[in-house]
Amino acid sequence: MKVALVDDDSAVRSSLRLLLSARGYDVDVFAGGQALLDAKLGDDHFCLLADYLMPDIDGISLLGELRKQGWAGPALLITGHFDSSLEKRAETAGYSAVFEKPLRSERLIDAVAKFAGE
Amino acid sequence: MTVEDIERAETLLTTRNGIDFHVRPARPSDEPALAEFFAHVEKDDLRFRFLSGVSTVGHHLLAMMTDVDHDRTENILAFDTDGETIIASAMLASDEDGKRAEVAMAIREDFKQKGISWTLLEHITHIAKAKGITTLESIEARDHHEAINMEREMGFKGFPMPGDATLIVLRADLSQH
Repeated sequence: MKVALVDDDSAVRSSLRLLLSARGYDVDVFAGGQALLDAKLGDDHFCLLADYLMPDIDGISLLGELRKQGWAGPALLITGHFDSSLEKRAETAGYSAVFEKPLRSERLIDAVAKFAGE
Repeated sequence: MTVEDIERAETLLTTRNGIDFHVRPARPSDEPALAEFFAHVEKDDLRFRFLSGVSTVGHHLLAMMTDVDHDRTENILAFDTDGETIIASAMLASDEDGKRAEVAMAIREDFKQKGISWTLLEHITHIAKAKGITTLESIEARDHHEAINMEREMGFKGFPMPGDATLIVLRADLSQH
């Protein structure tokens, strides 16, 4: 049971990983979408936290590729530039929610806890 | 003593008020005892511990907290002298280069106000130093005054949490001591 976290910003990656691991979650961290696709998510990954804007592949295309690979878990999108059209596209792609940076940690951890079945 | 010795060994700790308790790293067989522990943690303390509105701690989270890698993540459990009742838990998670770590603690409701958190945090600080961690942080809800005051007394300094005004980062520099 692990959270998959992908963000090209090492500061966000490091902070979120620490925050989630200290709360008990096991986190697999990826610096880019392609690295995550190459590693492949399995049944033990119960949710995905993905940044929208990444240099190699954006968060929305990434979830599309993961669905093609057969990974069906819930996903949360993180973005520095929130707008309603992005929210719609994210929903269509299969994201459960979009979180805007700067992140409200409690809301994000709540969402992860729900996916973990807490 | 190596880092492994400090971490693996079951250690007897004594609070400043003379209360004894044992600590050791969590293992998968601790899951039922940890579930029982969280059932005896006050609702507000659960929120402070998980920074979320979870009211009960379910199987998946318990499994993750008892089956840890003992390298980047460690969960130190404190036991009453009966050796069975978990009275506190301290999760230590370090970043990719092993220099910065975060600690998150919780204590059983009937073992509060006995100095156990203080002694347990001192123990975690020793483990962190032995692992080569130079910055130890604790992220607290701003209304968790007890923990914030204790950490300040222990030399942690408060900083704003980037992007989240409801939280405060308490940070200790372990490189100078």
